[in-house]
Amino acid sequence: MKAVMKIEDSFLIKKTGLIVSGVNSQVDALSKNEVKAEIGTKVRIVLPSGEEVDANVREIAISDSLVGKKNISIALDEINGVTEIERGSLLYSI
Amino acid sequence: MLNNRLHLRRLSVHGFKSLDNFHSDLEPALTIFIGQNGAGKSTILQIFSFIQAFMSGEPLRFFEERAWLVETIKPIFKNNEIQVNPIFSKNLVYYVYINYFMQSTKSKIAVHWIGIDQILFNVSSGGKRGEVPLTAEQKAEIDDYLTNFKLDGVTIRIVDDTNLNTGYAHGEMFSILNIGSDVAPGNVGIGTLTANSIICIKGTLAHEIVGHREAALAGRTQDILSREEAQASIRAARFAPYLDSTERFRLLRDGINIREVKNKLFIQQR
Repeated sequence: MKAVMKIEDSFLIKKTGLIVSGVNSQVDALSKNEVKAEIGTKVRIVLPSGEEVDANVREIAISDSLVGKKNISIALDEINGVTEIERGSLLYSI
Repeated sequence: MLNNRLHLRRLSVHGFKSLDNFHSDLEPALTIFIGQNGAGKSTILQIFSFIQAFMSGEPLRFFEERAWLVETIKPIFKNNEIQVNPIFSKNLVYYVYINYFMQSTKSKIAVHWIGIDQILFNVSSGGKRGEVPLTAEQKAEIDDYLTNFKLDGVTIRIVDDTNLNTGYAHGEMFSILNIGSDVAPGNVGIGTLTANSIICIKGTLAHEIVGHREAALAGRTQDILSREEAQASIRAARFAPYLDSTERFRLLRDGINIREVKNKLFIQQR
């Protein structure tokens, strides 16, 4: 299990599913494909309460900012009606 | 002799720029901080600058030297501690705590700058952009400029109260334009010619939309990061709507100032 990011934002897009976004300065210098490979196809989210939720990755979209920082956004398969992930949750690749 | 000198033993920082819940023991002879850009090494030094200004009776000097919204800061003194009147502290939360030995007498300094409604974020560039959440005027400027673009299928997220950066992420199933506090130029480094300090809100949005998004839609995304960034700035400089010539120059300069571009075009040196 490898730490990917702390979740800073999450929201639901119709037909696409739950999106979680975060940052990790350790991947800023990697290419988008390298970051996607690090994340893989299945992730575990550890909520601030300690509860763990596993989810399949549907798609990963990555942005680069004007000053060279990346945001990572991941579309997840449906998680039992969950529409939002608490900010500060940690996301791991498994 | 060492016992007669000031010896800072431990530094604890809460909510000072990017440092939160930060603790470090300081060695008697030498302490070295090593970390990536943006990790907070310079911020640690700024804390001592802040303490120095405070101890010299000029706490506001620290903010004035950095052009940090001095007009919003009105310190008050209470119980030998300095506090910020919460009414005026919209953008600042500072809490610095230092223990030290001096001539074998244990003492401590507590400095609190406490805001109640917002905290500082340092998302992007080691302090040059994204230091404070966006103002209502800045958000209005963003909304107004976005009306110039077709953004069908793009989810726009205003994330200035998070550590997310301003950036456009393009996917097959979804696309997101995150707009963080770093959409605005930073208030440090004014007068320099870095992207951090000079490219304005419209220029940054143009870089993301005309640069990254329109290139992605046209299948022109570059595999090499530096080339993608150069393309985004140059495309924005050429094609973005409603930018003045100065902003186009700034974007163009940002694009050609990227090291790989300079090397490729042999313009590193005259």
